[in-house]
Amino acid sequence: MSDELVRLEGVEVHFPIRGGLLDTLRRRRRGAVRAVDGVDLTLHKGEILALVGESGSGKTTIGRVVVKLTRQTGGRVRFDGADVSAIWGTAKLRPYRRRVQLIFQDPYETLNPKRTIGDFVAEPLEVHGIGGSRDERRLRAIGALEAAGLRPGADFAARYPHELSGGQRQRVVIAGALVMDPQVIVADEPVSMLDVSIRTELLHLMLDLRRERGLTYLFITHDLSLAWVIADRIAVMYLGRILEIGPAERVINSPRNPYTQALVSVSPSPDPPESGQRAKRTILVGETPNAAHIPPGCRFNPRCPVAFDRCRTEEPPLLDVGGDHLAACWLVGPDAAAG
Amino acid sequence: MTAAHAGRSAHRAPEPLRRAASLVGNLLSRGDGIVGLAILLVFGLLALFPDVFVGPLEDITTVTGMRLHAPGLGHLLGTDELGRDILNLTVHGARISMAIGLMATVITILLGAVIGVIAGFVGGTTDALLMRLCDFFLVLPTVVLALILAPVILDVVGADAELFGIRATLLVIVVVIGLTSWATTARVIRSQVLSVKERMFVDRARVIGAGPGWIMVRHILPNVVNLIVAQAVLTFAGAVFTETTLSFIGLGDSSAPSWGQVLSSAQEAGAAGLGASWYIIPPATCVVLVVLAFTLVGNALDDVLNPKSAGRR
Amino acid sequence: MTTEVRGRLGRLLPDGADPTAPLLEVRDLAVRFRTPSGASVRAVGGMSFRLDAGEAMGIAGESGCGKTTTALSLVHLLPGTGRVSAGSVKLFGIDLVPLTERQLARYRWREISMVFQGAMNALNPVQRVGDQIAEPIEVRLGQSRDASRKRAGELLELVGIPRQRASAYPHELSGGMRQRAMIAMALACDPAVVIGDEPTTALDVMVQAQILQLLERLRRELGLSLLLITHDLSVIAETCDRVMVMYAGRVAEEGPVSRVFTAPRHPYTVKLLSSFPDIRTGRRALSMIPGSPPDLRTPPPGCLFAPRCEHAMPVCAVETPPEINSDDGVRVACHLFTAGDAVRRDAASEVKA
Ligand SMILES: Nc1ncnc2c1ncn2[C@@H]1O[C@H](COP(=O)(O)OP(=O)(O)OP(=O)(O)O)[C@@H](O)[C@H]1O
Ligand SMILES: Nc1ncnc2c1ncn2[C@@H]1O[C@H](COP(=O)(O)OP(=O)(O)OP(=O)(O)O)[C@@H](O)[C@H]1O
Ligand SMILES: [Mg+2]
Ligand SMILES: [Mg+2]
Repeated sequence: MSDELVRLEGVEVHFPIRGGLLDTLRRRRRGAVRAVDGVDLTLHKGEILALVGESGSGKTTIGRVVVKLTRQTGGRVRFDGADVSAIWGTAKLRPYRRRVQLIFQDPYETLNPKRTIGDFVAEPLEVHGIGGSRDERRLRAIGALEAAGLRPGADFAARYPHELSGGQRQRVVIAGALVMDPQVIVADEPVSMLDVSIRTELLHLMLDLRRERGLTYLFITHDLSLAWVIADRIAVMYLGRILEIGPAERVINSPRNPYTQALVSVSPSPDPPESGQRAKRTILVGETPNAAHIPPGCRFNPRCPVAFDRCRTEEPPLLDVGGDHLAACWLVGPDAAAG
Repeated sequence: MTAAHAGRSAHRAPEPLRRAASLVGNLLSRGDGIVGLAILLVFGLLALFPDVFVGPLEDITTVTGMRLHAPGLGHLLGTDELGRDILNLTVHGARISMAIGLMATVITILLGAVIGVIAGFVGGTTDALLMRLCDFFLVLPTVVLALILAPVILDVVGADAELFGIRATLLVIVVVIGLTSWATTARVIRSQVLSVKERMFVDRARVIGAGPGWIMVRHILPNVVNLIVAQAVLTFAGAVFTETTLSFIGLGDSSAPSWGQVLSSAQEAGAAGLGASWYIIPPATCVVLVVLAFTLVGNALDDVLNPKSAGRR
Repeated sequence: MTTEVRGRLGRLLPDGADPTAPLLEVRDLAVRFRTPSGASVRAVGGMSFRLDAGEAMGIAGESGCGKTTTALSLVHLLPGTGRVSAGSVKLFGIDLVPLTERQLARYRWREISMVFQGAMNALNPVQRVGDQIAEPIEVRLGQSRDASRKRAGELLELVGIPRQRASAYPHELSGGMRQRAMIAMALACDPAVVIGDEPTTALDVMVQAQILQLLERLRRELGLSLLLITHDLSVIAETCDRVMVMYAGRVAEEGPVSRVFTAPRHPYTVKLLSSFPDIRTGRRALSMIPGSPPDLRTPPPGCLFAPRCEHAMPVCAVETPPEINSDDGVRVACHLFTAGDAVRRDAASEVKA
């Protein structure tokens, strides 16, 4: 397909668990944390794909693979048709860095406390030696600040991070990503630290920017209802794998994987229970298991309310359930009846 | 238009100067900063121009007073067992003590900062090895090392050799202080680099395409420089103190009386037993004052260099 | 000798308690903070509410509207720069505001206990979880060490942690389990009121669902009264009977959850609800609340929400709206509802649209 922008094929990220100094010196491994364990994912031009999952499911790690901050230990990464899996190093990555940007979860942490907002936003231009003279770069930075809703931009450019509110800081971070005119933005929990009303403003900003600039987003969140608000497609992750992916309406309204079904059922709603809007909640027992000890078979089987024998031995692949909607569960497969 | 333009560039050109000026300004707006700076200024002047204040250094041949004379009109702070003027000795001592402190600090900070930054930034095996090396130096006892190194160094360079006007015996002290204190500095700086390296803004710099050099200069160093400055100040204070200790146990150069040397002679002369407190109090007070002043300035600097607290005032 | 007074479930009430008084009744509570620059921030300005035995009330509102400040002022836990400048806080009819620190100790934790946001990180990392829960029982209720250990085990079981895990250190438990342990600790002295300040905010959805389910069960089984503070309206919808929406240190609207959330009256409540994503209603476009809350150092006259309100009338900028109680148990502070009946209905339907 020509509108594919980013494509992950069987991406794996396994972090070795190391012991003390001797182990480090001998490069001996003591097992691995399988943070991402075989993920196929495609980002189409201009779409917003939400990656949803519990804490520790590997969402951030995937985002970091896409922006090439973390090396995948297996699989390939394609960008605009070209295989970029083996491209590393500051110089070789330059062209890629101009097209793919990251917005982090914590705006307090992303901004260097010692540097002004203007420095922050203009820094990418400076790194890449683009944007002309110092003054021209400054003007572009101010433009980006205003595009991110910080007006007057010149006023904000002179401030330090601690002089801004949380919502304003996140706008600065967005401006810092925009200034390069990227094609893809990976947004890792961009609004989860923010207050409800500020959150809404930022989501609107992100949607406006997509409309104006044709941006493509990988939107990482643990909040299904946020994904519902902003995404075209939703991918649900569990312990390093995608268990379900499809158009937002289908994943939310007719989830096929039992894990997604449980997530949808517990997703909080401001409608009081007696208002009748509410389906029965499936509260899974236990917590997300550890990525260092992934159970055999379907990785969700120990917590799955409908697991059967096959689930304990064989891992289901993502199966097409029609309408661009895939789910990894033996209950939806063509031979589901056998179970 | 031209005027406006000129005004703007003139406004920008002396940026570092302006920053330095505003830094001193900020420092002076704090009580502890003023007190510390004032004390250091006084000692700095004394160290630079001792002759202007008390005349040339007195030795046995040029003594002006009687032996162990209590403070009086001729000798404001009394005299020592050779009849030398204590005020004269103390002021000249400032020069030696502070020169040793300064050199020891330079060695410590250079070694410590470079090794700390490399270990923290490069990480992995390099880090592990450097840190083991650090651990070794950390457990070295200063005094023992000094006792071992002194004859070795004197042997190698010759007891009468001079380096930048500092005699070899004093060099021993400088080297010993440097060797035993860089490891602490390296450790402190490494852990700061490690924690800064994990901060999100470093990841962000990588995402926008910055290389390790850029990240180092733009993001890591500005966030450890406070610590380096604070560490330098503390090292200086510590070095003056250690020099006193080492001189006191007899490792100094009796012809170049540092404060420690004076204290040591006082001890040998049995000043305490003779009730000659004037012999002990001036050099001891100077040591305490300088250490205190540096600590005050270090603390104030640490606060002032932090944009957050600067904005709060 | 004062006579013993026993209340709900035969609990021994403190001296001077009035068994017929409401459990907790707050009247015209106002809290001020001194700022370093010498200005004074009116964080809470004239709040009144009441919490009955066995009831759960949620306090909702944007960040900085004074939710935490309200809760802390109930048991004198305000930071040094803050103080209650007016009003009363009556527990069993006893006013807690004028009490001295020593007199108040009797009420803190034994009658009113709290679970904070991120409280799971407040556990002492080098002390066993069971011992940390036993400590307040031993110290406050003066029970023997064995008895308090035993009680700690029971409490852990109550919050769904196996008794054997009492010997675990905090880092051996997951975030959700630690938050449960904090809840167990808050229940240690069998308090009449538990205040939860964002008790589930840092947790995953599934763990949050588990904790909310636990709170609901505890309330049923122990007859607890809950004051649940959160900016997350859905948490209140799940667990509370009543909700109080705060804006800039005042009550905007208060009433049964089923009324307020399905037919909100105050324009702020309406906005707040519609800025909340909900996967069940198919609502995908979120509405925004323009502008930001007022600066509480210099609060403007009139209704504090007026500058952001699309229904603002001339009177809103001048006069603070009185709180109007309606027959269905909803209290609302908005000029739209103070005028005649006809106007009110008009405005209400307009607000809902
Ligand atoms: N650098 C690393 N070294 C070792 N393990 C790691 C590293 N980074 C992540 N992990 C592990 O990989 C797993 C996935 O982590 P990741 O941060 O991707 O999860 P996440 O879905 O983003 O979670 P959250 O919602 O908490 O942010 C976790 O078990 C984590 O502990
Ligand atoms: N120690 C303090 N000194 C000065 N002002 C304070 C202090 N603590 C809180 N405030 C002010 O009081 C107001 C209410 O704060 P509070 O923490 O109660 O809000 P909140 O509703 O709990 O917000 P959040 O949802 O962010 O926790 C805010 O305007 C805040 O700035
Ligand atoms: Mg993450
Ligand atoms: Mg709060």
